[in-house]
Amino acid sequence: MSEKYFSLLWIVNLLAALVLSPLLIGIINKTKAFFAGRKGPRLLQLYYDLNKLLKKSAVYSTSSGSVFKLAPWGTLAATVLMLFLLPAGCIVSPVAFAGDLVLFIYLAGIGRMLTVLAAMETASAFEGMGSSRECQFSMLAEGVLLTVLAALVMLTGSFTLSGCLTALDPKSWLSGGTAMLFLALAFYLVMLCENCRIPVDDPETHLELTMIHEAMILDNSGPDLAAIHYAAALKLWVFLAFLSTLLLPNLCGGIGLNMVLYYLLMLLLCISVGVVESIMARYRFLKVPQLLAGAFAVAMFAIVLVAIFGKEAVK
Amino acid sequence: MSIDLLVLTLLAASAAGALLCRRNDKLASCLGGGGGVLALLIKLVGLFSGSLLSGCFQLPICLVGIAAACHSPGYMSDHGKKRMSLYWFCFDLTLLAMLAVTMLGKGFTFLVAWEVMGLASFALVAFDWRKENVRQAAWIYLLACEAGGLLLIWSLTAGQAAPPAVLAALIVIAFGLKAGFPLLHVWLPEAHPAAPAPVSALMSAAMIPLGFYGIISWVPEVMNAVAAGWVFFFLGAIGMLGGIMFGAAQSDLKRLLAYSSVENIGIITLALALGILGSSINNSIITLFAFTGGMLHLINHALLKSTLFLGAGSVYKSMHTLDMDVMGGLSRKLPCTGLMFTLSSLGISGLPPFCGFTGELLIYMAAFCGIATASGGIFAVCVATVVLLALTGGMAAAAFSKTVSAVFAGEPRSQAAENAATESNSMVLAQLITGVPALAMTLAAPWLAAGVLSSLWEEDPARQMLLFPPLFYNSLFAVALVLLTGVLLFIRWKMLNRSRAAGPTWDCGFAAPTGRMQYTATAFIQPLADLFNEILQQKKSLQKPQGLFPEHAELSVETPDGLGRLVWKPVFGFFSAVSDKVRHLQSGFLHVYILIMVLAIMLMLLGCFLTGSKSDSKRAAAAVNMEQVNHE
Repeated sequence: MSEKYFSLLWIVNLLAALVLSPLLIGIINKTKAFFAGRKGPRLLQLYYDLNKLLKKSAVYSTSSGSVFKLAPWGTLAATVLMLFLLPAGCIVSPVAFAGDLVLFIYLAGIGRMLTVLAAMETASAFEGMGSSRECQFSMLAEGVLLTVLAALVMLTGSFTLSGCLTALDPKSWLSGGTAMLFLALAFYLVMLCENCRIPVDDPETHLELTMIHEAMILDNSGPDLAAIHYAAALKLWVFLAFLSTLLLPNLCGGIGLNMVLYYLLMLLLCISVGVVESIMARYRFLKVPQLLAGAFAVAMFAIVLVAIFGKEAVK
Repeated sequence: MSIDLLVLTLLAASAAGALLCRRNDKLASCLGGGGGVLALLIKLVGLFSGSLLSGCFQLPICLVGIAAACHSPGYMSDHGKKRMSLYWFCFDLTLLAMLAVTMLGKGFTFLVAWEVMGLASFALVAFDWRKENVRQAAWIYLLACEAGGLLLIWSLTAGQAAPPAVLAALIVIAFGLKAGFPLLHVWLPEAHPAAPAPVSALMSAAMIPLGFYGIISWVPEVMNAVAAGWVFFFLGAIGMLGGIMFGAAQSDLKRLLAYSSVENIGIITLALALGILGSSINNSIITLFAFTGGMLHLINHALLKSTLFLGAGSVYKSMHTLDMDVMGGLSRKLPCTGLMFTLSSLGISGLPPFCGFTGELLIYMAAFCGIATASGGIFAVCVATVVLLALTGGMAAAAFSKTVSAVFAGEPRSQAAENAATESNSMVLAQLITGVPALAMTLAAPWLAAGVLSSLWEEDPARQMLLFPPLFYNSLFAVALVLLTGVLLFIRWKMLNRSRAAGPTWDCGFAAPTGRMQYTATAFIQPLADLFNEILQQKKSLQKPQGLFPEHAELSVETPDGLGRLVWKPVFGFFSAVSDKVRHLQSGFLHVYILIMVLAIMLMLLGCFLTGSKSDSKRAAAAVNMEQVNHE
């Protein structure tokens, strides 16, 4: 199949991500409702919410300035660009370049810092609280993420995100799979932290003292809030897609089967996030750094595993 | 060469001119500042007239020098009458010495220029000498300068006598004192807050990196020594992580920036270490990426940090304090300063689409290359580099989020912040002089790195071009990010054309929020500081509210320098304790002094007799000594 065909397929996947990402939140909420024995919000609830918010006008705090208006859209733009760097299933990104894995992590960083600065502009103590916590946890999360990427580079020898995630065929996956499972576990923990899910953050609560991300956006309204919710859904998509390509070996040839498995795995992972939220309580904040340090240890263990048993086993 | 000579002469002339106009501040500023700027502009045009390496270090000197000169008249405007001539004399002399240093190699003339640079900048640091803390800081700075100079003289005079490794170590320590390697950095967080802001900018952006120039030009063999690679790795790792950790915990604006310089010097040192270790296993790709990344980061840091220091100067000028806990909402009074400071903060946290990311990207690439190909110790170093860079980046983002939000965002936290003065145009212009090139740097980086910087280490053009694609794609993504944000903002603006409302911050229903309810700088960073309290050892003094109707409560948090406290305080404490004991001899009575002299002579005689009985040559020497004593 030609290069052109692949690029087209990748673009279709990109559009699918842009359209379908709000669905993920709906799936998580349905899962949680199922566990709680409730009916729960509709699967498409976030679409309705976004539609409603986009139609509303906005209220701006008199304390806030230009960063407050810029941040939701800057964050959204950065998240969309993160999506550009990701492979879709086994299809590598056409704009991939050596070193893009660092850019991938740092694009998340710029979105986060913009959100923090915007929150601090409102002069609200609650938003200060959320920002302060976000800075602390994201620093540790960033360390774990880059450790995971370092392990992937070591395992595959590729410097592009697409290359790293799609390099392993089923045979090499079997030999390097243990390390991959450890990496997936570490990444899963960071995903929960970065996407403000339990046990790190509670996206549902309105008790401000327990929130991180939700506390930072208390003063956003209207289209700005829609952008924030949409960017959060996209970010969840990005992380889930990363994780499912990480877990899925590259079945060369069977593109159709590969895509089906890829989306199926994403669905399963998404439900698992809902399950985790249903059966766990949120950790105390003092415990979150321990969770992230644990994730770091797991990722380092994967590196040690590959270092001891040899990279050649994988290639 | 002729351009260099012209520039140096012009600088010397303007320094002399400024010194002559002692009665007229305006004339002194015109002569000293104008002459200096003109000289630097000429140098900027003929930047690469000398060697490429010199050019790389002269670029920050010229740009930051011009910006600092523009910033000075505004900043120094209330520093007393008839003092500007002295200021400009020292300022031009510092610039002259810095440029001279970059034009010279190892030798005596270099040493002279180096000493002049140290002394002239000492005078600038001590410019507000009437303040106690300034005198203290200037004293520490002078000690650091002179210790470095002493070590250099020592290494020159020792010549062939000492083993080369010892000589190299002496030289590295001497230049490390200037560059602010960990343990040798103690003067930085003292001198930067004390010095006038333009001087801090000049020192932090252009003078500190000269330590690297010194190392490269005096002991180039270090660049091929594996042991040096390991030493630099640990220095860099401790410097960057420790620097930003202590920086994040500070509540003094310029002290935070000074620690951030320690962090960035640490990153550059780490890049140097990676390059050296890469070349030790003949992996020229690692070396190319690491060295070029380090050099690019050096230039980026110079541009960003000088913008930040100049911004801090404008803030000080309008607030007359550097304590971030009493600031807030200053972007309303200082809109342009706030904008440039925010952008530079995002840049120095190493985030795209700003230039701070480009250098770090190359260093990451070098480390990833090592992870994929190397084994053993160097593999471990590369993994550690990736993890450390990530942690440092995250902590820098936290530290600068805190800085920007405490100083510029939100509402004023004190009366002083509410009554803050507005910014002056010349000081804004100064920030633009370094800030705009810093913004443009993201786009220029691919060509600068692949076309210019890489030829310092790599002659093969095909290899040089390896640097181009990552940086070029990064630039594309930077442009895409800016454009996409712009488009989205435009759509939002169209959407909101209908209606919008303004009101007080919601604050969960509390109807009367005040500025004092906000998170302060100290509060913002407290979770992170607590996480690392084993290292930071913050001093907290808490005065709890007492009684039925409590009125007063207070919490103050202070973060003293870690290594300074652990290492230098005991060392200097020991010396001062010994000196105190020795001072008893200085009693003021003549007969005690005569007694001491007689005792000393007798001891010397005794020593001569004892050693003299051992060998013939020493006996002869003792005889000569005896004769001398007899003569006296």
